[in-house]
Formats: sequence, C-alpha cells, structure tokens
Amino acid sequence: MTTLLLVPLLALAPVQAADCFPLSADRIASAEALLDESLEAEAIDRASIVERARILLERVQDEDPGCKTAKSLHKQATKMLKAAEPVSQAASLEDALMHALERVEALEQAEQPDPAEIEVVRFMLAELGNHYPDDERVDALVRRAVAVQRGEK
Amino acid sequence: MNLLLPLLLAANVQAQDPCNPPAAGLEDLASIFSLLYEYTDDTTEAPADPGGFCPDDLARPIDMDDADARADRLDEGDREAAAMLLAYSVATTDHSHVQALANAAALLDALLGSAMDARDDYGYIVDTLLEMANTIDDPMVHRQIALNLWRRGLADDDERVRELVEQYLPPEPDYGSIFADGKTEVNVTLHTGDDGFKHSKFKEVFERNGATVVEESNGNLTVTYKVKPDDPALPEITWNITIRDAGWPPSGVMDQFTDDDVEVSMFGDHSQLGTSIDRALSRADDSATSTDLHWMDACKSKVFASRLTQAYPKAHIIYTKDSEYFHDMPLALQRGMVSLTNHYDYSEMERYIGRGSLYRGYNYLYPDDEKKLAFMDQDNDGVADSEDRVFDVNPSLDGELGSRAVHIANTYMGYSGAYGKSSEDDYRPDGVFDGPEGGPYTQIVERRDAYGDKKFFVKFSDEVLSMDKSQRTASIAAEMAAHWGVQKRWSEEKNEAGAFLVGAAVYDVWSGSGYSEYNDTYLEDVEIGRWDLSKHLDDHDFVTSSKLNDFVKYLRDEREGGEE
Repeated sequence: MTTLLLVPLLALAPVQAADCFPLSADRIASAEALLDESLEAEAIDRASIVERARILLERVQDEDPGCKTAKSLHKQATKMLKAAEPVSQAASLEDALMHALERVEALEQAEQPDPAEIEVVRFMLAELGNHYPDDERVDALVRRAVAVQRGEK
Repeated sequence: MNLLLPLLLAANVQAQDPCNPPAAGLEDLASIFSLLYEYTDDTTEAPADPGGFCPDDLARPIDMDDADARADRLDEGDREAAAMLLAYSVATTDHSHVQALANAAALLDALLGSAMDARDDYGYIVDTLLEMANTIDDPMVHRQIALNLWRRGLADDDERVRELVEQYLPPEPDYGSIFADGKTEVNVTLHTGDDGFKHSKFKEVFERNGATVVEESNGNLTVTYKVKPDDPALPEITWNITIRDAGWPPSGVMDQFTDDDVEVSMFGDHSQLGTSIDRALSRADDSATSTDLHWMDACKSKVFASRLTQAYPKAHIIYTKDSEYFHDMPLALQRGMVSLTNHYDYSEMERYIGRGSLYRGYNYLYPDDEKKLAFMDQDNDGVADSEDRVFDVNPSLDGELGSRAVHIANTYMGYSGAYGKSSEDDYRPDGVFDGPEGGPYTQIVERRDAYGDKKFFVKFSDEVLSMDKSQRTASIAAEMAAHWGVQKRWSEEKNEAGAFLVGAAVYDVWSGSGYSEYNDTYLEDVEIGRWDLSKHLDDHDFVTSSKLNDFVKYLRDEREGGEE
C-alpha cells in the first residue's frame, strides 16, 4: 500500500537539474536512484534509504543553493520518509519478535533450558515491553519465557 | 574606575609570611593571585582562612564558588585589569606548574561569567583564555579551558571558540585518519560473544546489503563489504570487517583503540553495567592521541565513559544511552559503514542509522553530543566533566570510582520498576568530601546542571572510595535511592526497604566483599544473607513495586518476630 502511494510521488518528479551545477545534477540522480531503491528494499531498510537521499539532497542545497530541483526532490523525499518510517519500524519489531519467538520455542523444547539463555531472552523481552508496552505479542512471549524459567514448560 | 591599575605596579610583590615563598617559575602568578585575593576579600565577613592566600594554595584546585564571589565584587575595569594581570603572569609561569595554570584558567572563567552576567564587554577575557589554550602544554588544562568556554555558550558566536570546543565535541569522524593517504580499504573489528552470535543477524544483514560473509572455522565472521557512495564525488570503500568472539569476560576489546591497522571498532556484548570491559581496559595501551572511531554497542555503555575518556581522551567513541538490542547491532554496524563511506557528520549518522530501528533512533550518544560530558571524569576527581570548572591535575583519591558508582546506581534505579525510568540519570557525581567514619557516605544537593536541568549532585566520602567496589557502589546506590524516596515522600519503612534493595541489586553476590557491613549500615536490626536477598529482586526490573511491598512485609515480620 505504501509503495503504491509513493510511486506517483516520484513520477511527478522527473529530474530537471538544468538549474544546478553538474556535480549537483549527478548527486540528484543518485538521490533519485536511492528513492527508487527504497521502494524495492526490504521494509526494515526503507526509511533509512530514504534518509540517505535526503542527506545527499541537503548537501546539494548547501553547496548549490540555486538548485531548485534538489529542493523539490527533498520535499518529496520527506513525504516518502513520513510514510516509510512506521513501515520500517514495524518491520524491525516484527523481526525482533520473530527472533524472540524462535528463542522462546527453542527454550520450551529444550530438555534442560540454559538459565543464562533464559535470562538473556527475558531481558530482551522486558526491554521490548518497555518500548512497545501496548504490543500483546510481547506480553505473551514474556509469559512463555517466565513459564520456562519456572519449569512449567 | 579601575582600582586594580595601581596594583599592576605592584605585580612583583611577593606574598607575605606566614606563607612559603613561591616555587621557581611561579612567582608572578602567585603574586597576582595573592593581590587579587587580597583585593577581593569580603571585608564585611571574617575571612574563613585567617592566613589568607598563600602560593601553596595554587597546588590545589581553587574553590570556584569563592572565585565567582570574588569576580562579582569587581567592576568592569577591574575585571579587565585582573584578566590582563593573569594573562601576563600565565605567560611567565613555568608550564610544569600545571595546577596553578588550571587555577588561573578557572579564575579567568569566573571573571568571564561575572562579566557576562553584568552584560559587560568580555572579549578580552575570551581572548586571554584562547591564547592560553593555544600555548598550554597540558592536555587537561586545555580541555578545562575548552569545556569552560563551551559551558558559557560561546561556541555558536565565536569561530575560534567553536574550533576549540570541537576538539572535545567533534562534529564528524576523523576522516583524515580513517581514510589516511586516500586509502579505500579499511579494517574494522567487532568484538562480541556467544549471545552476540546467537541473537544478532550479522550474516543476514550484510548479505542482504551485498556483502560477502565467510564463516571461519573458529566461528568468527569475515565480512567484505564494498560500499558505493551515494555522492559520486567520493570513492568506493571496501570494509574488511572481522566479527570475533571476545570470550567472557571479553578480552582484546580495546586493542583496536591503538592498532594502526584498524580504524574503526565496535564492542557488542553484555555491558554488565560497566564491568564487562574491566579486563579489556586494564590490558589496553593508553593512548592520548588516537582519534579512531569506536562504538561501544553494549547496554547503557555511557557508564564506560568515565574510564574510557581517561584512557583515550581524543578517541571518537559512540556510547548507548539505554539497553541495546542484539537485533540493532548488525544494523548499526552495516549502516555505520555506509555513513562513513558517505562522510556523514554525527548528526547525519544519527538520523540515518536510527531510521526504523527498535529504539526509533535515539539510543546512541555520538561524540558531538554534549550530554556525554555528564558521564566523563577526565581528571579523576569525581566531578562530572560537564560541571567541572577547575581540573584537579593530581587528585589524592580515585574519584572516578565514585563517578562510576553514581552512574551505575542511576542505571539500576532506572531499570527498577519501583523507581521508574524517569529516575535514571537524575543524579550526578560531584566529587569527594571528608566524611564521617561509618557514613553517611554521600551528601546530595539539588541544583541546575550545565544543561539547565535540575539534578541531584552526589558528593561521596573519602571512606566510601576505599571500600571494595561492590560495597562502595551498593552504599552509594542505597543512599541515592533513599534520597529519591524522600523526594517522593515514601514512608520511612518503604524507603528503607527500597534503598536497601537498590544497593543489594548493585552488589555483586559472586565476588563482592563487605556485604555484612552493608547489611549492618542500611538494615541495622535485620540480618539477611546476600543469596537470600536475590529472591526479593527481579532479574530485569530489579526492585519492582510488588517485590518491594513483599520486602517491606518481610522486614516487618522479621522485626515483629524478633521482638517476641
């Protein structure tokens, strides 16, 4: 869904860098390639790639203040970032939860779970819980890890 | 009116008895201090020291409250004359008198503050301090001058001040060192351990980004990561990354700080709240000049800062503010390489690396972040560098032990559910006091810090510094927690129990000594074994509200049982 929304934004911004220095035009082309890449990238990386484009475009604006193309593309990139950031963050959380689930399942299946490993997993889940207090999946995993710790699994 | 001008003529007057004569090379500075102190004595009050100022006093850090008060007694002309006299005498002082020079710079800072408060012209004082920084040999006095000017907020308006301050708050990595002689292949080492390999997806993250990852027979990973820069004006860089198991406790972590072949390193393992690098740090070669980039990617690695700054004062070190997820570590490393290839400054690195991370981007304390100074104590006097206006070049006690204990106690309170995240870093180390035998071991006062925030400043006694590490940290933590409980108007019973548990959480049950003394000091009438205490503590949240309530009840029962 996010990708579908973002493609038209890019389509509106063909590179018109005639008002810019040659190096600026090259940088703008590179920034545009990054924005394209972000649409194809894994969700977890998407926001960071857009940020790279923004940083590059800011450098163009610093060194070539008359380059309007950089300014308008930066505006588009900022809109893309607003859309991409929650997607990447959700992907990070999903990734961390998936990993935690794997570890909890491994502990549950172990005949004698390693107490140090339980401690690491519990600590990781506790920290996730601190930062994502409304996520019920974190709570559920904490309960499972505690059950392992108490020898109930 | 410039009342001090006549004193210029008397600048060579020697200090009078009962003082010892000044040491060679210190005559002018001692005379000027003596004159200024005599001139600014508050005649409405009896002098605290009937002997007055003596040259020997310059061998110790001056009292900055007193210096500020003296500076405030001068008018604009006098302040300028005082600065001129100090400038003259500093120029003739032998550089071996480091503390005296630090005192001169500190007195100039007092004059500067007074002039700024009065909205007078202070340009001459700034010029004098900058000249002093340019000519001083000693790195600590140089740092003191730079940080004092930072604290005055002058870096934004004065290019010269900004350049000086940026030596300690560098805005970007030292690319001249990382890519020395235009090299395009750079070696990087990451030290981690079992849990790092188990919980961090190094292979997946780097392969996803086009790197080649080879698993060695010993389990270490070798990553070859070619990064094409976004900016076509920059060269492609090949990062040769070794991800190695440093064992436990980790060893070799600091070897790269002084290794000419490795420009960037990362430590990514458990922090154990500051203890995990103890072994590695003691083996490291000290280096005063290394400007390599090091990422201490362990939980709350800010507690490492006081020791690392002393050992590597110029190194660019990234710390964590909070716990670090093993999940985020490979991302930080991979994105770090992209950042460096693109010659990002630290604010750009922060933006890029934090995007889409579990912490929403706020967990790293970059080298340009002035907040890092609150965790540093380069002169080892126990006062946070952010607040330390006069460095103690030869402290008689190891004050950093107290600094570290305060920071560790802060983190335990922050983790503890009963105290809450908001309590973390509410307390700042504030140096050593001559305390009574048997405690209390701290003196805590509230005031605004260098950043303008209200904080509690903790002085720790000379006695607590001589204790075993566990007992020392536990004692300071217990007294900080007790102070916090008073602020929150907890009942005496609850506060006593909570403070005891916070100290117990910090205490190392495996190797600490002095536990029974800790028990006697903070829980006089109930004896509880160190191992028995662990059931009153949570593995992660240490002192939770429910555990605290249970412990209150336990103590009540013990006391009632004891009375029967």
